[in-house]
Amino acid sequence: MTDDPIDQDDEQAEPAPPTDDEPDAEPDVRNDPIPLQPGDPAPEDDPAAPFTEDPT
Amino acid sequence: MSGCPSYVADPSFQITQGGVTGPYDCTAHSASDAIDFATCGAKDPGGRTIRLLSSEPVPDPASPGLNLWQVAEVALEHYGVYLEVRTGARAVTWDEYERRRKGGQGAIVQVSYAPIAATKYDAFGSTFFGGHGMFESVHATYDPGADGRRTGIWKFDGTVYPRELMKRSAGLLDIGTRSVGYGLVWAAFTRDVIPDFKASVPAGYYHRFYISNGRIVDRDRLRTGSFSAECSPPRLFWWSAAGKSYRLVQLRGGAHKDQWIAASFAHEV
Repeated sequence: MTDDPIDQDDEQAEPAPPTDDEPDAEPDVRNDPIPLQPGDPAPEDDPAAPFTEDPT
Repeated sequence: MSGCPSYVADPSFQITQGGVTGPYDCTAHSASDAIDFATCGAKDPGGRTIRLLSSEPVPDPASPGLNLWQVAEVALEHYGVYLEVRTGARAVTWDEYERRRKGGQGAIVQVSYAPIAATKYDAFGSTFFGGHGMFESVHATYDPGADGRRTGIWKFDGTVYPRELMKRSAGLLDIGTRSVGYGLVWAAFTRDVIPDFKASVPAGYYHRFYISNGRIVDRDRLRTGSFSAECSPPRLFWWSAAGKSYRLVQLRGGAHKDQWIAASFAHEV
């Protein structure tokens, strides 16, 4: 840890609204679901994750 | 690069091995391949396990897939494998992607499947053209759907897909309002070690973010005379109010210990 000794003056200002020009902001890009086709194995019943919605 | 460059990872298949969430889990199965590759086969969890260990074991019906950050978190916390996520403004060029892959790093790459569906490598019978996660190493391209489960479905054969095909597919990835762009790649790379990170905040203002249940709920603005401190690797958090996610790091020491701040203040040491 290397805190600089001059840092003793935090003070809270007004909340800042989100902006579009922040380098740390990015869209949440996830893979898309695969449509199952006739002949594909049916998803197994798995009580560990009770998600039963038809992916198609 | 891999500590065992001759090791060839076993493919993990989302349809035939993925269980109930298999159709949603190409990124999870690709992450399993990445962990297998990075650990030289010592750890090969399978995509279903990655899903169950993720921040979203039950898929959100509105967006049931996973992103690279979610699987990177599982890889680090449960398998000790650091995946360097390069998305958004930090996407890599195709040339860098290839330099890393040929140099021995594995990569989970996000692609549009449309170009691949038009080739012999199609693993979904001309029914899928959306965003897809795949794993690549110097040895092979791993499509989690390519199990050869029936006629017309490509079966993994341990080869590397044509580079122009992968370059076009990566560039066409839909990231909301546009595509990534030809010549750019959103990917997560395997690394030899878990790097240390340090945050250095210059004099002026910075944002402190508040996290609840794995999501950003607020932030405020603080003034500092400058400070630096060890911090966590970057993580991605969703903020509903902003409609986007932010890369953040958590400070691990000093007067600001436990604060979450923007990852752009952090760098590897």
